[in-house]
Amino acid sequence: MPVDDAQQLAALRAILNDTTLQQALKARLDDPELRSDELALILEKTIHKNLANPHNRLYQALEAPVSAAIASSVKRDPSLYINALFPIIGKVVRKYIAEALADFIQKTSSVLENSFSPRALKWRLQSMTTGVPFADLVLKNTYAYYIDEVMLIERHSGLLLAHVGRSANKDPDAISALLTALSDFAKDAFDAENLESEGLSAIKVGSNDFWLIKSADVIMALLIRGSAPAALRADLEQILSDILRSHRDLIRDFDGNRQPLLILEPELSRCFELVQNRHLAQARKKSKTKKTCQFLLWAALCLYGLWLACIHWQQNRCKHFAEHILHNVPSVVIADSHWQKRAWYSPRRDLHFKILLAPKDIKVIEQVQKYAANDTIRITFDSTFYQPVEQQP
Amino acid sequence: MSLLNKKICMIGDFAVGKSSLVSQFVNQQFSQKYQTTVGVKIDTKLVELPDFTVKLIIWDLAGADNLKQATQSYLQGMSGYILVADGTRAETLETALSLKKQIDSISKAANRAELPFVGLINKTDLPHSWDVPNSQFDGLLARGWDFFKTSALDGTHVEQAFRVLAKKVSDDE
Repeated sequence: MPVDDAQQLAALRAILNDTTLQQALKARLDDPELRSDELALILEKTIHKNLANPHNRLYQALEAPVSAAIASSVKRDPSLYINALFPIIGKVVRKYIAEALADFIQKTSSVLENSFSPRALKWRLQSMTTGVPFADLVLKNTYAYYIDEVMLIERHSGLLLAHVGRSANKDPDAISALLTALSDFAKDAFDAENLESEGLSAIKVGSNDFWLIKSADVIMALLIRGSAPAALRADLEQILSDILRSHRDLIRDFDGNRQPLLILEPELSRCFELVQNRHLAQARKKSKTKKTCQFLLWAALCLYGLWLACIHWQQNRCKHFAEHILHNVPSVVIADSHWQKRAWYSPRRDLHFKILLAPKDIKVIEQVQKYAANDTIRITFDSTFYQPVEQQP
Repeated sequence: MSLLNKKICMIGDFAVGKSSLVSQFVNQQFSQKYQTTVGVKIDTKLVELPDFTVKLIIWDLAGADNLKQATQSYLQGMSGYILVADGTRAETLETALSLKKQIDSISKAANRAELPFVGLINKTDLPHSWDVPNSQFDGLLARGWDFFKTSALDGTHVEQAFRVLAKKVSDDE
């Protein structure tokens, strides 16, 4: 055995035989607090080390117990999670309810406005002369909208980051600065106390609107021609959110040079596509509703025709039956019959007056009359006593 | 040639000629009609420099002797500013210097460097009413600041002052 190995072996033997060291080790292993502290230290380092790799075995091992622990905790005391999540979810829910209400109010206002205004009268006249349904004209004139311009603005400086639009004759830099100034002014003038306030969210200019969709760092301003539904805002917020998620760093590093931000223009163009898609969906929905209405109308007409045919057939059958019975009564002569207001009249009473009915014939006629009445046919039957004045032979 | 967009603000006391200077610089013509600026007015102007072009987005703020909250929100994100004083009213120069101090303290509070600026002492077209001594003007230059005696009426030094600021805000990046 080499000398070094022998020395190391002797040192190891000395350690193992050292009773003081043994006691210290035993005490350390027996102390649960000390062990948990050491374990926590190791776990913390392990978790930090493996944080970057979600496919690590540690993650997989922790996934099930952590999920079970959360599920159990939620089951035991849901209020804890409700309180923690409320500031996030509550805000989102409030926002969407507010938007849904705004949309509802807008539609109601539009309907009211379009029901009693001179404009509505004009549309009614137009509807009567052209044959286009009034509802279609209202929809066409009130919900036709499109986005003319989209500007992405750096919120604090008011500098334009990116711009897409149809109008090329204006100065979008000045407009973006002015919109930011107006938004700041509105916030400072009317809602300075409310730190969460986002200031101005829309500006109405004649029949057009400027919508301001805001995040912490940027404003997306849209010039909308016509009256857009409030529900559109949620979709536009989603587009802004997608832009920020993909290009946050690029926007943060903006130094006044817009060249690197040109890649944002296709992203902003999604706003145009969004409106186009909404119009298409609306047109499809309208077409579907129209087809359904047409189908229902035709079905109703067919059913009504069928019902009329049935009634006619039944009444005819009844009439023929009554006539057949009455023809078989020797003392009855049907002088005339016709339909008048769904009733069968035999108006030439003078002929009847000349008929002498036997009691059994009267009974038959009464039965026919009763039967006919059940089948919606009325037979007018007048009778009177007849006293012959001639001498009996 | 690359194009840089920069926000600058016109700051100064009431009726010192801020809007008229902007009007002279942007439209090259002076409107005799006096107009008190309400809130803010926005103008833009392209300035061609040897290496690049700068588009100045000029926020012409309402005259004030101190920075109110509303004014401070308008100042956010500016790359530089123009301090304007009226040469026929020496006290407006004191106001301008006081406003500069307030802006510097805001920058300091936000851990940012002092913003570039250019000082204009306006209305040189009224020499008989001139109220700012040359010694005071020289004192400002001696501090290394860019100050100009301007006239919004005849355009004296207006273009030059804006070009100097355009250069400063571009070099500052």
